[in-house]
Amino acid sequence: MLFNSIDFALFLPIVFLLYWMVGGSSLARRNLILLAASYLFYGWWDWRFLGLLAFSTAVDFAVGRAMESTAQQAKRKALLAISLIVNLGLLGFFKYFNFFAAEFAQAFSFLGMPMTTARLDIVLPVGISFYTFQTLSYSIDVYRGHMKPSRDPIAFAAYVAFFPQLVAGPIERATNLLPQFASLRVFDRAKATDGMRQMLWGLFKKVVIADNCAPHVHAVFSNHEAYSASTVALAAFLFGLQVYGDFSGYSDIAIGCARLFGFSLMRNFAYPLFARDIAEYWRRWNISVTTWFRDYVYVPLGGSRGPLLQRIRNTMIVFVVSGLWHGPNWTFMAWGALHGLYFLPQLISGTNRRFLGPIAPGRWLPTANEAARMLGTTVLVCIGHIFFLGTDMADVWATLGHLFSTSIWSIPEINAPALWPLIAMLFTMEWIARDHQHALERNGLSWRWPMRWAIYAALCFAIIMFMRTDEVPFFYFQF
Amino acid sequence: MARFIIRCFAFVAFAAIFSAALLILWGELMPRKLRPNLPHPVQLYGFLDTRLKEADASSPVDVLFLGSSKAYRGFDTRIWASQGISSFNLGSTGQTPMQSELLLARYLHRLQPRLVVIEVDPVPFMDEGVESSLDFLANGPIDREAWRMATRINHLKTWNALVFGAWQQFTGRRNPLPKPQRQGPNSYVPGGFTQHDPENYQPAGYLPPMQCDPRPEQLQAFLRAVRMLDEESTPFVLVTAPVTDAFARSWIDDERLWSLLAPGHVHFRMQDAAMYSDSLHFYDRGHLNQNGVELFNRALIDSLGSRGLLRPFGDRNQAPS
Repeated sequence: MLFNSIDFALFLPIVFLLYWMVGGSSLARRNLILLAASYLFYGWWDWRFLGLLAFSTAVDFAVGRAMESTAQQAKRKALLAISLIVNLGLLGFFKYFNFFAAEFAQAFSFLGMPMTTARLDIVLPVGISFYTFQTLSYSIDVYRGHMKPSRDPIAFAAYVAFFPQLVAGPIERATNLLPQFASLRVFDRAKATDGMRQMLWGLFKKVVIADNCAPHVHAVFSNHEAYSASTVALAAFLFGLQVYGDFSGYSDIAIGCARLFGFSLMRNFAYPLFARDIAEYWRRWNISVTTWFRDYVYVPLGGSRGPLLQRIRNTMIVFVVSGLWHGPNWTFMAWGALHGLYFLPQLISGTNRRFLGPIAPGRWLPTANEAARMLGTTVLVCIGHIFFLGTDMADVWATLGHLFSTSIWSIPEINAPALWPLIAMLFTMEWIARDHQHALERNGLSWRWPMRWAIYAALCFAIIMFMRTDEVPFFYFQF
Repeated sequence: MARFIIRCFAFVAFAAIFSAALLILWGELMPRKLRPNLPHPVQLYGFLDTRLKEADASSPVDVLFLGSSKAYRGFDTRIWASQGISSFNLGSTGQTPMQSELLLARYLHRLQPRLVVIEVDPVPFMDEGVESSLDFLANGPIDREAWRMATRINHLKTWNALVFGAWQQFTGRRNPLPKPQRQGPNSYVPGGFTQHDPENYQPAGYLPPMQCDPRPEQLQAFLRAVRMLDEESTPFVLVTAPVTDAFARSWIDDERLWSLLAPGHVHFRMQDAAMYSDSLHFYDRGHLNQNGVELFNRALIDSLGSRGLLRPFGDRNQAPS
């Protein structure tokens, strides 16, 4: 079930009413309603993978309980290994089997030992990269002693399958979300109203910005030789907006939706379009995944401790692995490595934490220096998009070669008269709200209700007038 | 919580009214490029406005034609008139069974045809019917049938077109443009036929196979239209117009569609009813040129005559005005 579908528009109010009215003051009943709704939500896409979700849940619940019952470090380590093998095994099988099998075969052929490998015709279960990471965070945090394991299977299953963030995040830490399932939520009208506003803004970003950028990006990158370099560059920029609108839109809807049920999910995007350097970009982009890799890969590798070479190694590993997380393709790994290379100068010079504060505090506009930095970051990120969009490395090099040609100075050929004002609107709204959680959190809140409602209704109108009417799935579902 | 729910309902009502007002304003002021979900194609293609206005003033006919562009570009009412058969062509661009149903509801009593010829082709049965609905809502009246069609299609563009069309009708500014009789290579012929300028087709050779996968809602609309005709005791036949050879052969599984549509009904598949040549009788892969139209209509009249379906037509032998 997609957030931008009629099905979800009916599903959400029904679940909302059931949850608060039938659920009453019973925590168990509310969790059960959420669990049933979440499985229905997931099964709507393909019911056959519900078993996989249930299996992953059962394994981690059992591992958590078993860890609690033993104090022996070796046993606890073995239990953690079971969780890692099961979760990463499932992820590896569904997502990476064909890739690694083909790569092994190619490597053996290169060494003069030709071999054939079976290619499995398997469907990638939607959201598997997200929920396996979420359950892994539980097992690891229990192992580390950061939290007590759950004793309530319904609450735990509801935590794993919680429908707002099940298929595309934010990837929640068990330490943040699971305790919320263990305490009775109280309806908070202000939070619920803010959740609705955040959902509206997320929907606008998804169906108006992302979905309208997508056809131009697709047209250019499916045949980039036919377009000038400036058009390819503009398409790379539009791809950035497409992915941002799509993914941050989904996150906003997920966070807003969770608030309707009394939950607080972690923030996933913090206006990365205004990042002043790459380090800040990664503090603002896909925060839940970035911090997941930081906490569960980078830190165990040694993190920022140790000699410089070790820190460089750790950084590169995290970036390459996060690239691989997106999919089984060398282009994703190269994309991750490229961002790692972008990041290294800041790591080496110790300037990677230069921009921790708000952007242009107390000013209407950025300074020339800030604007130049934002532009520079955008250019670097757009070059990265070429890797992200490439079908293989040969395609990436060809596109890059084409990009750095003299036609970069020509006028871009993308004709989208309705798109540019909408993009300007996105930038304006997000710039004004850059100190807040989302674009509608504070904007206009001090105005009288008719004016405020008129703005929200105008956004609804923009959705009605500019949304793509064919159903466009969320981009990050494929990961 | 009750207050929250009440405010949600209040906002939905407010947003519906506010958005409708903005939609009308936007439709009135903005060029078409800036209103992607409100195309409002007034007199853009197919002469539907002209055709419907003529149908509104038309007297009863012997034969009524329904269907897509293959109908309004294929059934030449002048040829039928030359055989003493009065007819009216209510074909329209991309017409799906949903629009055929609307037309029958509107015009069956007015035109009182003695035979309805429904042109059937796989494409409209696989289509949502949105594009054709926009044509009808921009060029036809907004009446109960239009509302019913919009409800059944239930598509954002259709709803937008309905609201905007209703506004224009309410303010009396419906289709104020002069009615052209000619658009590009197309000329409107009184009686609903559209003639294409002489042009021959360059055969494309191989066409990729196309799976015929009809939509349930279009099949239901077709069955409702058939029921309407049965209730009025109006005989009808199904006709599949000829297309170029490669195009005809590209369909996979269209037999399944015909078996769903035609049990107990007369279905003329005209592909092999005459010797059509791709280059001599077509101007594109799916449409006959005037030479092909002559051949097709005469073959169809012969086929209908040989089945005794044209026999009762004696007292309405004048062509429509």
